Amino acid sequence: MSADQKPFPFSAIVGQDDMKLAMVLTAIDPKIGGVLVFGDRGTGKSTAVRALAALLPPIKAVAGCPVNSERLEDCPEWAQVGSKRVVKRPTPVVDLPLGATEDRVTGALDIERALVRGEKAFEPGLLAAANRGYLYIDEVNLLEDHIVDLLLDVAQSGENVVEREGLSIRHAARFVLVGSGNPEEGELRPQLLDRFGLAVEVRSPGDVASRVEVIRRRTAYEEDRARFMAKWSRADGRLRGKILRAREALAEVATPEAALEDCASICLALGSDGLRGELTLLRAARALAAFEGDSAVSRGHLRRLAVPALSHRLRRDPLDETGSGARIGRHLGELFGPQKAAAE
Amino acid sequence: MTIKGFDLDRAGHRAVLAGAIYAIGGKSVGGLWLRARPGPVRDAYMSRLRALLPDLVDVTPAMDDTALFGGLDVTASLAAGKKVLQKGRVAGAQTLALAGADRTPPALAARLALCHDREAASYLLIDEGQDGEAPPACLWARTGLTIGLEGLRPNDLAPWPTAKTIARARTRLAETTFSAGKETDLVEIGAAFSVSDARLCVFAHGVARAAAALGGRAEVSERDLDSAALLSLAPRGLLPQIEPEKQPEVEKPPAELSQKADTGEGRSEELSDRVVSAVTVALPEEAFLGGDLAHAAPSGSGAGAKRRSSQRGRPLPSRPGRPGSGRRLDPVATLRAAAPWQRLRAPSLGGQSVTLRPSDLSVKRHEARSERLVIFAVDASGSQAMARMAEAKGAVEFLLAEAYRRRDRVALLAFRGEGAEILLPPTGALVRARKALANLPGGGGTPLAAGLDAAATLALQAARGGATPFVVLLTDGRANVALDGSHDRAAAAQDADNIAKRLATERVGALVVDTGRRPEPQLGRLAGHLGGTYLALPQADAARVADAVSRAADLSHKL
Repeated sequence: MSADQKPFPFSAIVGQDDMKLAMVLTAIDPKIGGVLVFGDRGTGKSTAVRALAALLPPIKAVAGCPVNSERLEDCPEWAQVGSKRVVKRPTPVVDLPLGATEDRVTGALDIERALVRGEKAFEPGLLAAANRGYLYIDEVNLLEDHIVDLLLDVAQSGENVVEREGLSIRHAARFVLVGSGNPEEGELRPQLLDRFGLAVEVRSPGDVASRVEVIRRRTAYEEDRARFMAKWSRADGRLRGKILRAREALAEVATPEAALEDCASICLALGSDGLRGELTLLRAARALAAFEGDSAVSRGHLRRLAVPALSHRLRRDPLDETGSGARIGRHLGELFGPQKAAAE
Repeated sequence: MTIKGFDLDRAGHRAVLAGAIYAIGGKSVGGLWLRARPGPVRDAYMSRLRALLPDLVDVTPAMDDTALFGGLDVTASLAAGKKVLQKGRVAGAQTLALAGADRTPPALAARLALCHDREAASYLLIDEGQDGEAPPACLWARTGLTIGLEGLRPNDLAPWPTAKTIARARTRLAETTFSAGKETDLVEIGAAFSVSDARLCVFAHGVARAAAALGGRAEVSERDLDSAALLSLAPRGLLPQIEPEKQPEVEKPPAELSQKADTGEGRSEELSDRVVSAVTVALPEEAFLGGDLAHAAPSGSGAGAKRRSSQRGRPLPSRPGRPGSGRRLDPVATLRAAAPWQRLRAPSLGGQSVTLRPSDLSVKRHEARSERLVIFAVDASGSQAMARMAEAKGAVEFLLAEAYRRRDRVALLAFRGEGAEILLPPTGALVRARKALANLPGGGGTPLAAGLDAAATLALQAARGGATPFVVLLTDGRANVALDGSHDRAAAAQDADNIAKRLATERVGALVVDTGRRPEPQLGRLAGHLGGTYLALPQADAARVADAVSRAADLSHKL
């Protein structure tokens, strides 16, 4: 990747701490299950996801493998990977454009080879390319429902199965799904909302100083990318180190009985549907503990992640306009006493 | 306000300045959104702009994927018997002119937006939309300059800067500086126009710098901020709400503030406010549409009428045609078409494989349901307000909940006094609809015809965009304001009937809910003209209205 294609550095994004934290947590533990970012246009949603992938260390993959397999034996048979070389690749970020066809997403019969060479071959789609990386969907709320269903199924099972046009293909498709959108332009069905691990809301910075800072950093980046990247590489490097350490520490993070009880009582008090909320909250809290170098999950971790992990899973009247974030805050206050100012 | 020969109070001058700034700034100003219908002004404008942008590549939404993004040319490959690749026009292009940008389907818009984010491409959107039609939001959000040529004559355009001036300005651009104080001013102007989009602020920054470079200034001056405000921020923002007690404090030398004749009391006002008032005078009303346009592009799926689709839905028989642009090849049908000819064709290639010709290609077809747009036209006149406004609101709320369940999109317009007003352009966000409804005031005459006319405009627009419109009219039916604004009952009723007939010929489904104290025969007749259902609210509770909408809508599908 040359300097002028390098995405905007992650640490240089002004504000938007909730969004950045949610993305970092999924980088530590991809099993958290994707991030949904809702907010206005031009709040740095797509910038953040591209930046995060560039921040993460490159992955090792077999050269020429369409699904970025780490070892030769993981390469799917249909791909007929000839090379045994393992190369370093940047963490893949695949954009799924609005209006992409099912063929393009799952992969389909390779028409070119079928017609020109008379062979039945599989042309991998976006899901294959996103394996071991990120799949980013801008305006996920405007995406065709059947594509969203398909994506969420694959994201959960980690495997893409194609049974069409005489093909019977399966390949690994483990990726972190990042969806973004503007709720004013349409809503996402509740059953789809629930499948995203974390949901954060972003808004434009309200104060003049941070807005000026946004403009300044962006123009500095556009003008001289190499210099801008150099300036921020240390901050990015520190964050990368912290994420890598957290990944290693994740298995060691203890989950005390008290934390489990807290977790269950939060979800009970809120009446969130299903158990997915509890599991995600706990998983995310463990990742947060690892990120902050703590040895065990504490009430503080759970408290900070209750809104992103649960706000999109609450039952609500479709026409009710009060945010669920406020509701969660109130319940947390009732359960554990008033919020400490420093916790947020 | 004058900038080096440009009079910013004149639309023709602003347009040329925007073109020049785009030519200088390129991607640093994002792109240019040109709202102009075909005509001599646009031709004159484009021919001069083209001269300044020699590497402009023309594309249209009608071009297929391969032509735009490159790929295998299936037809040519088959004819030649080997692989023929086609290079896309978008690849490597710096500036792309997208003619008919308002007709860009969402899928294409998303891919073009991606090209903008990833590569050097910037867009010149030529938008021919009318009545609030606009290109998809993801495209116009990536342009920093907005201008309209509506109502201008070729003579109104300012003289263009020469290619040499532009080239000089381009070289100067890198050295142009922006002081910290001016950057803060720019952000405050943006805030005054309620511009929350950080992307637009960054583009406005580029516009101010390019304006400075064009004016030969080494540093961005206040006049350059004016250009950025007028060409970038104002057209996308909302009319600023001036709250005197909440003004941010910025100190400005008063000497620079006394340029305008009418700022007698504005001498001590801070900068943002001054620019705001100047803009309010300088811009035509429709320039402030930007804020609403976000919701103009239809998308998603729903329960509307059937239409042919090449990608999804219930399968229909395949038909001959070429794959590409979302049409999928049907291999079985293709082979079936080729099979009878194999004996004849085989000798030519001498192979054992099947020989295909371009004419054999068949593509799949599907039948998809288009989304449904329910347009609520609510009578907010005095007579209605006195009678049963609360019930009408309740009925609409019930219908909104129903629309949510059916994944319909909704639009809300109210008519009272002299005319109709669109409270909510088509959207899938029903919370907004409910808010708009709750704040709906009542009073004034009943311009039923104007209300129907506005509903018809929205409905036909939606139909052009592939959606299935459905109009719900809630009124007590005492039409007393005609289309021309006169208070003539007979003319008002006549106008309403005429528009109803027009809607009926366009096969737009309709439901008339009579909210009067007693059934109004005129409304029954109107429903007849509309070819729709008539329902009198006195006997109807909200649930019955919703049921009637569902049934009436289902009925209109079957037509």
